[in-house]
Amino acid sequence: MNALRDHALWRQFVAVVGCAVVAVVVVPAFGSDFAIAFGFQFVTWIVLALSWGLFSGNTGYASFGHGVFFGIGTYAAAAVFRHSDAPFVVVLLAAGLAAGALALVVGLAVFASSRFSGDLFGLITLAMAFVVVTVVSNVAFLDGGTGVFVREHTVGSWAGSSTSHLFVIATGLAVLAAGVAIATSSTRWGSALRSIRDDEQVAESLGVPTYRYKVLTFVASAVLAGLAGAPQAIYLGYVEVGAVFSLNIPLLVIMMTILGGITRWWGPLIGAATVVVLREVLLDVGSPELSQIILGAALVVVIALLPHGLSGAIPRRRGARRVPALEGGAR
Amino acid sequence: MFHAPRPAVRGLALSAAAVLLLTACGGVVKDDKSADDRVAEIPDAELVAPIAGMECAEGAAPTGDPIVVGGSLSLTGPLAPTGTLHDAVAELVVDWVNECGGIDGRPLEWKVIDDQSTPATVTSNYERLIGDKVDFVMGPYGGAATLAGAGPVTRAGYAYPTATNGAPDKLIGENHFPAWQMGGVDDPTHMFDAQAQTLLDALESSGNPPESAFFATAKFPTTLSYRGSVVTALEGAGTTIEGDVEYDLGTTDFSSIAIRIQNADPDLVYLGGIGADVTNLYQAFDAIGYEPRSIYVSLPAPAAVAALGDKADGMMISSIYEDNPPLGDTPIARYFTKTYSEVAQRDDLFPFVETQAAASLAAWQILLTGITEGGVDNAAVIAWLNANEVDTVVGKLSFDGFNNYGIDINRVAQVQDGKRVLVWPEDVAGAELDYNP
Repeated sequence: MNALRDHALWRQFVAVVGCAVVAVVVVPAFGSDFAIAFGFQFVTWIVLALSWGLFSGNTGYASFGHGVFFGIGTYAAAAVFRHSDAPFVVVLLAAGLAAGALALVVGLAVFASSRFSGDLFGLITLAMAFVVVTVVSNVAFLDGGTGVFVREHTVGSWAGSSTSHLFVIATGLAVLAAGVAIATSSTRWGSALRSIRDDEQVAESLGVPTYRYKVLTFVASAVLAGLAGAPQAIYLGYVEVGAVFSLNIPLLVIMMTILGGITRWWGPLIGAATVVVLREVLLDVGSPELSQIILGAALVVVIALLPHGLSGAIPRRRGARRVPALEGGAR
Repeated sequence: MFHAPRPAVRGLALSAAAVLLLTACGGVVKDDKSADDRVAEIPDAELVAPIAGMECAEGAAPTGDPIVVGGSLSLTGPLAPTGTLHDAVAELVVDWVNECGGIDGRPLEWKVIDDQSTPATVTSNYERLIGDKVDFVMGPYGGAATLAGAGPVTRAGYAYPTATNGAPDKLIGENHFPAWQMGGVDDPTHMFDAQAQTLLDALESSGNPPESAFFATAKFPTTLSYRGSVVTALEGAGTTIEGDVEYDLGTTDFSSIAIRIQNADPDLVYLGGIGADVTNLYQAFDAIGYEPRSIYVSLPAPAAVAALGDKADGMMISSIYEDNPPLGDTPIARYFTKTYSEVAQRDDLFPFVETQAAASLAAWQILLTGITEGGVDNAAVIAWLNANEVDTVVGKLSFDGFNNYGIDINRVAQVQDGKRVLVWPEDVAGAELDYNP
């Protein structure tokens, strides 16, 4: 089917755009800087969860390196801010391209051999994080170990003048990520990715060019995470290796995606929203240790009881189009 | 019907949840065996007001609307061991003020939100506190967190006292009131020069300055910046730099660094390390049977130094405060030392006052003095603090240099007979530096 003529897909995308427009209008209308700051973090996590689900959710290749792509985007943005007067759109592109370039190099190398599938892929992406952290810590152009003070380079710029502007940018990126996720929900691209998850060898024997699909989707996933790193650099104001490449970031992204479920394209979105809201609500519990434990335990329980995640627990509409080859896929 | 996700994927999620649960535990500092005895030896102290010029109306319960001070601290995650220390000091100070009848009769209240050691959360936490209309804010722990919080705090026009901002060269503004003062300069590229000069002066005061030095520095903004200034200062004084290595944050195996140091056998080992790096370096020294001629450590965890026992004797440490006269011999310092030791023991923290706890109290003293003099009005507090000096437990502070840093208050401490004591500069020293590499 030509995806461009699929009215169901377009309806979903228009609904996403509509929700984004409403969010961009309504959230600042609260008149609270906290609501905007929370909204910015909310949509940033959504971008990360959707982009992780795009590759890892669809193919079954669990990546622990997603935080690295996000961090590379953050550092690329910081470097452009520090070394040039380029407009924010250039910064944004640099962030996405830097993350995409890293994913391309890693993907071309790793996916060339079937030995690096499964758990070994996860370990490689984890190792990638250590390599990148070492490089960033030692290259003065990026950081060199002393951190980069972004705020002094963004004061006066449109993006740096208000958190609400960052919220608008991040919401736009969330729409982009959702658009890509929707595109994989019932297109040939998505079918190919899910066939890799179901049985890569069978998919290969049926003529699915798995290597190409894996590399390109890995790159697309990384580009989206990298793009999200650009507004994050401005939001943080000061970036340092320890905070930007924290292992908590990919772990939370994985949990969000699994919690939301990978059988629907919007599963990661629901998962991200649930975790972000839950974390914020639990801040008021009174005991920070207890709130973290409650969050972790709640997620473990949900994952154990709902193997398809929150989105998988919601029944599909009667008469919804079913494609046998896509069973279990993100739709 | 849908296929269940691969068991591996569910296992992955469960593992991720487990790791996050474990990180929530943060960490606690284990006391050395003699700590209980030393805590018991701390003499009782009389209740006095926590700041100069404030009356302590003991027994007069404060009434009316509380003056709420909000803050974001790392109560969970990797920075929790130090973040919880600052929270403990905050609670201690609030109880202290209220025991003294409050501020102008009004109770003081502390509202803390956990940032989970994540700078992005620091930003939204301060947005939240400001949205909740807290009267004042207290800065978070650490350079990245301090700068993450500076944006919303500054935009909202709040005073921003900070305890230990490790990124002093990053401009916050006229609302920034740092307790850990470093610099004393107008040029942000030389913020650590005065601290380095203090170390050099201390070494030269012994009459036996080191002829050679070996540097091992963690890749951490504060340690790298400080190391750069110390290298310049020592080289300028004629010390030969035998080696200069950097290691990644979180390094635990110091074997190769220890062997290099052994081969160089310098007069002075400079460890630009944080936390437990000093413990790990000494483990590596033990493994090769090497004992350094002398060692200086920049930002060690106090418990890590204490745990070294006799091996730490003679070790020099960067510090702004140790519990010795003259700084530790004031009524305020004595009361703080006693009450902090009790609170710290209860919370499994290092029970003696050193740089972090002292800086934390000093930050509160800055804010409390500002409120007492300027009223419950951030603009007035900012104006008053910018125009006046404040008496704190770490000394008299002013806010008139770059980024509101006044004189440099970094000092050199040394472990002597198992106890940390300031040895330089002379005006705050409780003992002479014992240095003969």
